[in-house]
Amino acid sequence: MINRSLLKQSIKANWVLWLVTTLGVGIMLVIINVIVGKSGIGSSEIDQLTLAQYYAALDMSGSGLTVAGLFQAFGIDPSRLEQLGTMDLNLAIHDMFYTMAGLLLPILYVVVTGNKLVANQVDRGSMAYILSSPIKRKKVIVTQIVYLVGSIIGMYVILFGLDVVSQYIGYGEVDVLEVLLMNIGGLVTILSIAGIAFFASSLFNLSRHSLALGGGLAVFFFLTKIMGLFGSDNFVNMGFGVKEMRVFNFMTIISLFDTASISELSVNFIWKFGIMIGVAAVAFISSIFIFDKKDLPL
Amino acid sequence: MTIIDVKGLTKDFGEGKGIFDLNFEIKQGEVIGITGANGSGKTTTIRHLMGFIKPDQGQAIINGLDAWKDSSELKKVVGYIPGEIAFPDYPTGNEFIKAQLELMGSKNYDIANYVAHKLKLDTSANLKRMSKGMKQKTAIVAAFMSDSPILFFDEPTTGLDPLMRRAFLDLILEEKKKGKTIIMATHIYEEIEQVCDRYILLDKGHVVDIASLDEIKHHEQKSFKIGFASKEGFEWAVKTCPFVKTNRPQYNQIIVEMYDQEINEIFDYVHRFKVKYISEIKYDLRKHIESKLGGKRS
Repeated sequence: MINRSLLKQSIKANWVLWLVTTLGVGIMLVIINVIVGKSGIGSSEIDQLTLAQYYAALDMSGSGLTVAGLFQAFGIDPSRLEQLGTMDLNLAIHDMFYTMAGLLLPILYVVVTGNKLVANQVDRGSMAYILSSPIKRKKVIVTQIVYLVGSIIGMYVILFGLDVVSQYIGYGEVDVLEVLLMNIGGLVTILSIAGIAFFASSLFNLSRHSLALGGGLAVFFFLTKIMGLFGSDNFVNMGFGVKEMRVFNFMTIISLFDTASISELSVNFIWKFGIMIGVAAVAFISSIFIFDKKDLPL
Repeated sequence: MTIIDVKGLTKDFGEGKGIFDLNFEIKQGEVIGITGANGSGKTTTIRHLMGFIKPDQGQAIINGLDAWKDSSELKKVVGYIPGEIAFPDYPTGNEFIKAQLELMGSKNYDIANYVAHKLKLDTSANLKRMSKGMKQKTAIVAAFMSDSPILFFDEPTTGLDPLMRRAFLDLILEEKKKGKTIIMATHIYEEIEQVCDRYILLDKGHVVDIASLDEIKHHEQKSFKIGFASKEGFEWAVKTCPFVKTNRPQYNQIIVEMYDQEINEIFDYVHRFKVKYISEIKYDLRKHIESKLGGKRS
């Protein structure tokens, strides 16, 4: 169902951006795992002894002042204190990487490449050469999908490998299952955004329309994810979040990448992956039928 | 043998744009020119023949196959020069030709080399930095190189200098000798006169005229410009001669129109006075088209 010559063309035209993206994310990942991991922030334990001394000192003064009262005076809810103390900064950093920083470059890659594979070639007119050959339109579009999906999978296989190795170097140990699930999460998220970008690319004959829909939605998802971060438990607990910002988490497909559920190994992340895979499948399959039937100004 | 049969082909883009109820048949080995003003439907017609646009009504049958439904199958026998030249991303002309041949399922470079040589094209040049003329030549090479028996050209000589235009028309004549069927959309009447067997005139999406170039060239109505040495001769001819179509008193000049068999009668009206000159006004495609369009508009 694919054409090898065309696949070769698509690889030739897009491998540079793929490589730059993979390298960019890979470098970020290695820095986080090796340099940040070695700094040992993971073991943030409460110093019970010192804490006890503080408690004792304040109690002994007989003034009725407490540690909790001190924080309250600073405007920090004392119930957050314990959460703040036990918070795993490593987890927060990795969470930020997997669902935000590490997604940005792949998002740009799928938006740009999705557009280049179809709409841009129709807009410029170079698609005329592909369709002047005896390859069915369906085969053309399936080949382009195979390139896009294949290149994303390839990217995440490499990132997974880098993640495992660099976590081992940085921390001396690695939970391979969790790393695998986190990378599958990134892969599935990017696939769903790639599906949307590719759908836009197959739908429109003008590159700017394709980018407006595909790129626009991707940027919207990314921005709402950032806004939603300020409504996340971690940020609210740390005192620079607002619970109400949580609403943004319901506006972005990236929220379906449930890192908390993966860490706890609860089942929630599985059906959320399922939805993202469903979005990708529907988007890619409808792209095939739309492109097969539409008028092309070539 | 009819190789292309266009029956009631209609595509309405709205606001009067499109093509409406086109009907024509083309025999194998014919070279056909399609002409008309900008927006008359030349490109839309060719895009239908290429199967890039689905007709609202009617159909185009090529080689017994439907141009839309069997579009990919037909590409085995059809070569195409698009109206707008934009190539896929390849560094050089050679790389493009190689990849395009691969898409067409061929490894034979002979024709590509021959056509490039004829057009004095250096195919090793950087594809993106090529001048308009070089790009056009590369597109011509790509259309000819798979030796397709049916060729569709949309404004194939855009950007070519007069010498190269001539070389291209010679190539068409060579292909014609091999029995190829060629449809060429162009607004340059001389090109049609030089290579085409018949021409189709489009106006606002309608076929206004289909005629053989032989008939047009051997048009039986002739017109002549006759200049008199004196005013009397001019005035007498204007008063008495029934063939006078227009007159220009400032030059003592008349323009007469008559059929071949009436040609002797003209001397009855001019021999009495001194004639300064007689020259034939050639009936060519331009005059023919003007009369067709003028007739329709009045």
